Amino acid sequence: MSATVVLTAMLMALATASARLLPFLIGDRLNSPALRRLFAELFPPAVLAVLIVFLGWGIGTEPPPVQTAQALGAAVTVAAHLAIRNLLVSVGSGTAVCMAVQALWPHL
Amino acid sequence: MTDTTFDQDASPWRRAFVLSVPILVGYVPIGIAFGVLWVQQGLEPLGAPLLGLVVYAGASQFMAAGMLAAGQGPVEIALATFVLNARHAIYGLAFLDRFRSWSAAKAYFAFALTDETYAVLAAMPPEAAARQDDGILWRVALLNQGYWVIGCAAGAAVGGLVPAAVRGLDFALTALFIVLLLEQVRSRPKASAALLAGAVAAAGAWLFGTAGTLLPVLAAALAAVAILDRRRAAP
Repeated sequence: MSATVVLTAMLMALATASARLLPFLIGDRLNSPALRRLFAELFPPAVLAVLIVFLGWGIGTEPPPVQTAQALGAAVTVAAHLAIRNLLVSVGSGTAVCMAVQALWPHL
Repeated sequence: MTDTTFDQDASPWRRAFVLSVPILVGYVPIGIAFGVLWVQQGLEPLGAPLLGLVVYAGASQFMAAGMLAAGQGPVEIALATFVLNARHAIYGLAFLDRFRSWSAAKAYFAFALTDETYAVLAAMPPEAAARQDDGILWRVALLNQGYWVIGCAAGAAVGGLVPAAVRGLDFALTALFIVLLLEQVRSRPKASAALLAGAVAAAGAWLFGTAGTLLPVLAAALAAVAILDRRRAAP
């Protein structure tokens, strides 16, 4: 393996670990009921909402098959989870629909 | 997620596996996609599982493949990785009281706390979380990284053999986030936080785009949620 790839991997590992270890190194100073409520209860859904918006934002510039597939995949994911409430089934069915629509698009 | 997921009679590895199954569904296909992309960029196949093993950060790995292929240096890629992954600094705060002292398990859990691992563990119902011992956390993290490395290696192995017609696998990540969010927003304050953060994210993406703006937008969204919560708590 080239030295560039190995060096890149090591520096990336250092950068990622720095961010992830930080709260465990200094987090005790931030421990209060108000912060606990924010970090344990309110921030998780907020972070997920931001990630979903960013993942889906570029969809408007994608070709119609991708737009349709992702919209249908999202709808199926939500419907399956509201109906069955099983993570595996929800994620699997939504992804399968997304893949199937893109594969079958010319024939739809 | 139902309470049967957290059957205390099951072994720690079994409980961890049950929790990690949704991540398995999301990570393996996306890891394969990364491995395929890595090889298709002309990079050495072994590099894909190496990054999965020592970096273990999906978005950064995809970014690195593009930057390396474009001739960017290791330092530039590492700086971009730090900026992209700085959001992970907030995740560990949710688990501070789960570890009494430093140990190999704590150090590994801190290293392996990705978006998805955080989301799955933070999404546990409070009563279920209270019954979990610390061993579940690192086991879930380890299983998740295993799925990711396997996906990266498999993708690099099959390389260009994957037909271009196979599209949509990466939607598994979006679907996973959607499901985890549905699990989270079961109380009004949490739903309000998600709506507010989503609105801030949409505004940020509309105004500044999504390339390289995740960290500031995430910071703005969380600040907005904190301000809203402070106003609610005020007498």
